[in-house]
This record gives sequence, structure tokens and C-alpha cells, in this order.
Amino acid sequence: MLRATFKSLLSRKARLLLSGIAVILGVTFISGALVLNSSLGKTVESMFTSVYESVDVQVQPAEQNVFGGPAPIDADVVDKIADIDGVAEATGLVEDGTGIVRIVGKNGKVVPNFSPVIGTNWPGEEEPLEMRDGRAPQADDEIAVNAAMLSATGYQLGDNVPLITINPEVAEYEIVGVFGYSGGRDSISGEQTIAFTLDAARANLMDVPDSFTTIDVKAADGVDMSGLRDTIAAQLGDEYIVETGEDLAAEQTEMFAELLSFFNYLLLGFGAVALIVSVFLIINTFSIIVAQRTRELALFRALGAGRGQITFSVLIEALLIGILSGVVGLGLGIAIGYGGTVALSSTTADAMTAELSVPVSAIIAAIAVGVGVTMLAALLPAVNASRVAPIAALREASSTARPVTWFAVIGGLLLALGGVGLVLGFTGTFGEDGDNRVLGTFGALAVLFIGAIIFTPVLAKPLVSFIGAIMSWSMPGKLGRRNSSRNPRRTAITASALMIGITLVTAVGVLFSSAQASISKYFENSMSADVLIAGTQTSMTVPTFDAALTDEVRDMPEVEKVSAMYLDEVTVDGRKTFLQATDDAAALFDMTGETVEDGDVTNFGADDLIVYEGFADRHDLEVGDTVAVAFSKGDTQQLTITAVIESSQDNTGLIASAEQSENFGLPHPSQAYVQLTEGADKQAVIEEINEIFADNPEVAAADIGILTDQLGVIFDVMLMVVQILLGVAMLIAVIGVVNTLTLSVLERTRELGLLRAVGMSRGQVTGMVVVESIVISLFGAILGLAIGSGLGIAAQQILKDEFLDVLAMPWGTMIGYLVAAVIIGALAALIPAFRANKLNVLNAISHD
Amino acid sequence: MTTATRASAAKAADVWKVYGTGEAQVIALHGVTVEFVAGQFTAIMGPSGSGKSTLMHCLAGLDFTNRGEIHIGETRVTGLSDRGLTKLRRDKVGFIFQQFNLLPTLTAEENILLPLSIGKRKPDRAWFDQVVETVGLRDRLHHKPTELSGGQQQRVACARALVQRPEVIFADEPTGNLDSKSGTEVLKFLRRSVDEFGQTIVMVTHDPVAASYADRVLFLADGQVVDEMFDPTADRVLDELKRFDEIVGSAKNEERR
Repeated sequence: MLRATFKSLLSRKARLLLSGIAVILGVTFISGALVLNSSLGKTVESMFTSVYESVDVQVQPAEQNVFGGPAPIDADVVDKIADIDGVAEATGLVEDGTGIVRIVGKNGKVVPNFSPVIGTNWPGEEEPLEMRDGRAPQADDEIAVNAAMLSATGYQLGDNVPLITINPEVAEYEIVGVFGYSGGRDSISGEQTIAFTLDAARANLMDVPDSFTTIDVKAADGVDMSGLRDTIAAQLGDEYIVETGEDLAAEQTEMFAELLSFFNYLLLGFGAVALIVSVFLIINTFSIIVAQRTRELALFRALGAGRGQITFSVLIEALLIGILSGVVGLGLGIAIGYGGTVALSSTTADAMTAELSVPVSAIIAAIAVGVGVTMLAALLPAVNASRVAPIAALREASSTARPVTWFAVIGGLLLALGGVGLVLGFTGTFGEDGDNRVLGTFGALAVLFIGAIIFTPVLAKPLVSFIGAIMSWSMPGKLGRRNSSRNPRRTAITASALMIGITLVTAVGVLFSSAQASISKYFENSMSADVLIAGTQTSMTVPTFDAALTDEVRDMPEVEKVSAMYLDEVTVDGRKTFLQATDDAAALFDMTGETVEDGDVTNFGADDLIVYEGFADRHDLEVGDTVAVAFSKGDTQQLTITAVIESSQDNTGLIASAEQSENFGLPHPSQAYVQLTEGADKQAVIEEINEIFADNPEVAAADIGILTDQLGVIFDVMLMVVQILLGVAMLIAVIGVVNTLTLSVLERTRELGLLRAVGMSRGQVTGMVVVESIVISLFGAILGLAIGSGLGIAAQQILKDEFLDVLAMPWGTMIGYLVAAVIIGALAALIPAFRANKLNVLNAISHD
Repeated sequence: MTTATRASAAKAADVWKVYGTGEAQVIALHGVTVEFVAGQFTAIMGPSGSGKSTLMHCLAGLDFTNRGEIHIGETRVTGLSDRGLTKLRRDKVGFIFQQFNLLPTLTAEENILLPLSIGKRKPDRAWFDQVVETVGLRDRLHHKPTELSGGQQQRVACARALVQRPEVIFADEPTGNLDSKSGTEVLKFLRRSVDEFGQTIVMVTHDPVAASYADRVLFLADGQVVDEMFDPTADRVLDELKRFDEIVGSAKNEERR
């Protein structure tokens, strides 16, 4: 029995390959994700280890601002540390790695960077730093840079480089020195370093005199670093973080890994979708294999093989395919994981050297998932195989379409259940609002989705006939259409793979386009500002501009009103939150069209505060109450609420006066809303405003519509990710269609021979197979679009009160999916059609 | 019956067909020259391996010859491309196979009209009705093949071959899978189509009774035409076959010595 299974497997290599591919893909993604994660972790770890190699112990302030750069350490802390036992030397540094320093390139634009630009004071020529050319900066308008900065920007020794720092206006600095690092390195980890004099660094990076951002501590010979770390930490108290180079490397590695985990989830998501879809493919393949082997299986039964043995033989076949696919998938996964590591490390110049690490979890997951999924999917066909009656060995093999009653019953029940759930969700049985309702309704949607998948075979016959009717203008088309409805279960399972993918993207697409429509409706109806002045962010630092410039704009005759917007991170009630500030609150709310629920927004002074309803409700506050707000700098202020703005429960925003700006991390505005006078030429005004901002290469004025466009870009990116997911599902679905058609062609050898004998040309045979394929694909696509739209609309209705008040269907993309389905169908038919045409007419019709 | 005055529906001139090479080489057709007169019913007989099916397949353009020429009517079959052969099969040749003649997805009517619809030709309704009447399938036209008996299925196949008015109908053991009653019906129908419609039919069979419906019987052995008989009866054919086995048998024995 076992030997027969092996022989049967080997004699059908193509089939083995086809059914394996889907599992291979799924396993590849999952093991690839795990390998990538582990390899990148290792690569990054070794990079940071080399970065912090020369650091013994480092001291930094515990408080770090989101805006406004490094927090200051008083200069006397350096002396305090230097006196500690075991400390050989303590050096104060002014350093920033968040991108406060932005380099304006030779084209007048800020140089975009993937690697960080580090601003620092000149640390002295100490290991591992090596001066290559020129000298250290001595005047405040002189800088020394590392060699990586030159190669990234094209500047050279002696050039004047325009830089934007904490001061928003561009200032020029002369490159007087170029340095590298021991071992001929241009940088330590791909970074570009700009070294100022100590005073210039303080002025440009932190704007606090007589202080540092970091203290670099060299341990005396033979002193244990972690011991020294603890000693220093004990001396300084909890206002400072004291870490060894090793600690820092580990910490940075972890931060990096967290960033990468998104990527990881993405790959795992792909893997999961691939595996779900591959289950359908495997069920299908094995069902066909069993159908093809009916006579063989019946012969086994006639010869005395038990039912268990038959089931077992099919499952063994699945096991072998599973193991094989798992191993191949793991191999590909390792390749992808390593390839991804190499690709990602190459984006950081030559800073990272890709290392390969294959975690045991990847190996176990690959084999377990490969075998598990394959066996699970093969279970149903295996049990069906055991039901083959011995008498079938004697009958002429014919593919019988089995009844779909059970699918109708179970699928229908689930659909009804989901429907009832949905109605309950809408009528508010799960609670008027809040998470229960959303959860309950989404649960109902999930049930509907599963019900729809199970119900598919029932729909196959009528729907396929209907779709096919469009294509049966010719005999080959008619035949193709009839062929596709011959076995509704097979058609349904094949189409399901496509359906799942399209359902997911359509649902997401409906939500996204509704979100976009809701946002643009807001801008059209409420937002009356015409122009937005804002910067393009190129690093972690938010671009700002001088408030005097907005005053200039305000003075323009075509300008009606302006609200310059500031941003700060504040602490209220012990919790960190974002705060906006405006220099003209009345103008702001007039332009945004937001409703002032209570209080007054005119005469908005330094000690006043405007809060959104969400914040007021959460903290049980009203107009007249005071709130203690701790800005990034300065003492905690008592601000009086002068107005409450109508908003949803989730909006806990705060708006302060621009008069507080000296306490902000960013003391300058980062955005401004501008409203023009009636009849002003918008484009001309935008150009004029841009003239005013000519010295701020990061900042530009644009039509307010750019905001919707920018939000649109974010949605587009998310949609693209989902569409790549769809691509994976589609790829597997194509394999499924190819698989089904190939086996159908084999099953119908005789028919094809007959058709050729009575004069059907090769082109017509191809046409027939193509129509069958397109009908199956369209069936899947239409179901997917219908179910996806349904799910999307239902979800939009649930979230109607939250933010999705407009329903918008992404008709364009939906039609795109339909077209894609037709193309996919046509492509998938090529190989089977080629096989059908290769048939020898004689072999096909001669009787044995 | 004089062959000279009537047109030729199909002919083979010195046709050779060789399978395989070297030791495994089999000469299936050994320089066969034969002509089929229009409006005549010819049966080809011979023992297994005599080349009768090969001859028919070559004549019908289903298989290629190694040497010699085949004509169907005025068309030279030898050397036709796949496109040409397809057109030939569609327009000039009708087929009836032993089994699996019909597409399960199509109704009887659709099966009958299949060659016409493949070739995008309009069926001649009157002719279609006449054919359907002749095979007696009027009330089964909208049934699928699975709902028809074996004999009915075979009659649908006959109607399909006839409805396209081909130069020749090739029938490969058309009664091989039928019980004798259904077989007789099919044979009677083939006979009528020759007598009433002037159809040319070439039928491969090893059943002397089936052969007795033909105008002429060709006997093949070892890839050569060894004898022919006009206006056969089942008994005469049987006698001939017996005689023939003896000749072949003794020839083979001599060869061995």
C-alpha cells in the first residue's frame, strides 16, 4: 500500500509541484519573516556594538523632549563625575541624533536622508576619530564633517554649507576639516556628522548656555564598567540615565527591532493569507487526485484494502507533500530572509554587514505549518477516497457532480446567523455605542464571511451560467461555460481562493475610500482656509519658521486672516499629551469651521486654554476651570479654560496661546492656515508667500487641498500593502485555476480528441479553455467584490458616528479587480490550453 | 459495379505507415493503394494488427503517412498543415467512433450540430429535420447523452456525421459497444443514408454481420489489401475470413521455417 502511494506520487511530479507551490509560498513567507527578524537583529546588534565600542559609560538626562532637541545637563555635572573614583576622564558633549541639523544641498533643497545627520561639538581627535584633512573648527561659523557627509551631499573641504538648525533660518558654515574613523571608515554606522565649536553646538542644537546633552565617561584602567555605571548612577540620582556602551548597544538594537516588527507582521500576514488560500488549493488538488484515481482506489478496495488504508494512503501522500513543501519553503524563506537583510542593510550605506541567523523557531514553524496545513486540507478528500466503492473499478470513470445540499445548509445557517448578528448590531442590542457594539457587529461580519465561503458551491451553478452567458456567442465559448459549471464544488473551491483575496481588499478599499471621502467632505464643507504653510519633514525634527514671517503674510492685502500653529508636548495630570498653540484663536476656529460649544475664543491670552469636548468630559472640566500644564521648558503654568470646542469623545486636544511659545520645545510655528480675501488670486498669493519663505528651504505654501492629498497618500500606501497581500493570494489562486484546468483537461482527454476529430481548431480549443478559466476567475472576483463591498459597507455603517460619515465605493479599483480577474483567468488558461492542444487526437479517441 | 464512371470520394496511393525504428519497427501499412467510390458503403475487415484502423486514421487525416498520397474528394490530404487538417475534418469528413462520441455537456441536438457550430456554418434546417427523422431521435433532441441509451447515443453520433454532408463518413467499429438490436438499428441507418442520400461511408469492423450491410468489403492483412468482395453476405464474409486465416496462418508458418 505504502509503496503504491510512493509510486503514484513519483509518477505525477507535475501534480506534486502544483499542489506543493501554495504551501511552499506560505511557508516561505513565515520562515522568511522569522529568519529576517533574527538576521536583522543580529546584524543590527553587531552594528551598534561597533558604534558604542569606544564608549565606556555614558550619562544622559532622563527626560527627553519629543520636540526641541536634547535636554540640557548642567556643566558642573561633568566635574562632579570626574571626581568619582574609577573615572579617568569625563567629557561633556553637545550632541543630537534626531536630525535637528538639516543640510541644504547644492540644489537649494534639504538633502533627504535615510541615515541620520548628527550634530555635535568638536570632540577632539581621539580614538576612533581621525582627522583626514584640514583642521578642527575654531570659529562659530566653521564646521568639521565626517567623510560620509561629503560623499552624501557632494560638498567639499572649503565649501560653505547652508544648514538649518534649531534656528529655522538657513545659515552658512565653512567646512574647515574632514575626519574619518580608525580602519579607514568614513562613518561608524552610515551617519553624517557635523561638528561645530562648543558654543555653536549649544546655540544650534539646544539653545541653552553652559550645558551639555551627554557626558562621556572614560573608566580608569582595570575598573569594571557596570560597577562604575552603578556608582555614577548612585551619585547622580534618577534625573540621569547612566549606561555602559554595552547597555546602549542593546537598547538601540531593541528599538530598532521594534521598528522592524511592523515589517515582520506584514510578512507573517502574507504567510497567513497564503496558507489560508492554499488550504483551498490543496483540498481541490487532492479531490481531483482522488477522482482521477477512483479506479485505482476501487481496485485496492476490491483486492481487500480497508477504508482506513485508503484514507491513510492519501494522507501519507499529503504528509510527503507537506514535508517536501516545508523544506523547500524553509529554504526559500532563508534565502528571502537573508536577501531582505542584505537589502535593508545596504540602505544604511556600508554601515551594516548582513549576517544570517536561522532560528530554530523558523525550522519548526516551517515544517509544522507545511505538514499541518497540507494534512488538514487533505483530510476531507482522504475520507472521500475511502468511500469509493469497489464496484467503481469496473465502471467507466466519470466525474460525478455531487450534491451541494450540505454546503447550502451550513453556509445558509451561518449567513442567517451573521445577518441576525448584523441587524442586532445596527439596532443597538449590543449596546448603544462603544466597543461592545463594534465587536459584536464585526463578529457578525466574520460569521457572514465564513458562511459566504461555505455557501459558494451553491451559487456556483446559477452564477457561473449567468457569467458564462456573456461568453457563449461561439461554440467554444459555450463549451467552456458549460465545462465550468460541470462540477460546482470544484469551481467553487477554485474560485474561493480568488474570492478571499478580493473580498479582503474590497472591504478595506471601501473603508479607505469612505475615510478619504469623509475627510474631503470635511475640508470642503467646514475648512475655509485657502492656503497652508508647512514644512516637509525630512528627519525626526519638525521643520519650523520664524513667526515674523507669518506676520508679513498677515500684512499682505490679499490675506484676510492667518493662524500660525505651534506644537508642543506637555504634561497634564502626569500624562504626556500633545498641545497646539495659535497666535489667533478666533481666526483658527473660523477657518476650521469647528463649533465653539461654550465660552469665547476671542481675546485669547497667554494664560488661557481652549480644550476639545473629549478632554473636557474626560477630566470633568468646564469654562473657567484652571488646568496645570507643564510645557517642554519652564515651570508648570496654571491656564484658564476660556472655551470648549465641540468634538468626538476621542478628541482630547488642547490649544494654548502662541504667547507661551518660549516654553515650547519648538519655539517657532510649524504650520500656518491662511484665508484670502474674496476674489484674491490664490496661485499668485501662494507664489508671493513662497517668496517670503525663500530662506526656509523646507517650508512652502500650498493650496489647502494638499492636506487631503497628503492624507490620501497615507491611505494609498496602506491600500498598497493590502493589495500586495492580494497579489500573494492571487498568485496562489492562479495556481489553483491552472491546477483545476490542467486536471480537467486530463479528465476530458476523450472529449478534446472528439472535438478535434470533428474539426475544432487549436485556436478554438484554447478559446474553450480560456473561457472556462475566465468564468471561474470572474465568479471568484464577483463574489469577492460583492462580499467585500457588503462587509465594507457594514463596517462603514457601524463606524458612521465615529468618523466615517460618508460612504464611498472605490468603483475604479473594483473594476480594476474585475479586469485583473479576466486577465488572470486568461493567463491561467495558457498552460492547460497548451496541454490540451498537445493532445494526440488518435490517442484521445482510440479505445483501449 | 463499375468504379470508373463514378467519382472518387477518397483514395490512397501506395501508402506506407511505419511505427518505431530499428528492432521495434512495425510496418502498419505496406504500400496500400485503394479507392472509395462516392455513394458507396465500404467495410474494411481484417484481423487485429492488420492495419485496418491505421488505414482509416490515415485516410481521415488523423494520422500521418510515411509515403504515398491520400486524397479526400479533390483535396490532397498528404502534406496538409494542422489548420488544413482541421478544416478537412470539419468540412469534408464525418466520424463515428466505437464509444465516447458525444460531449456530455451538450444536448443531443447540440451534439448533432457541433461540427457546424464549430465551423460557424448555418445548419440546413430541412436537412437536419430529415436526418433526425431518419435516426428517429425527434423526441430525444433535448436530452443530455447520459439520459440516452447506448444505441441512441450512437444514432446521435451518426446524425452528427451525416448532418454536415461530408465527402466521406469514417466509422470505427460503430457497433462494437452495442447490443445486437441497437447495432442493427445503427447499421440499417448507415445503409439508408447511402441508399437515400448517396452518402459515402467507410467502416472498420470485425463483425461479418456488420460487414454484410456494405456494398464492398476490403480485407486487410499485414498492412496490405489482400482481397475484396462485392455485395457481401455475412456467411460469405465469414467463409472468406476463415479461408483467409488459413492462408495467413500457413504463410506465417512458412516464414518461421
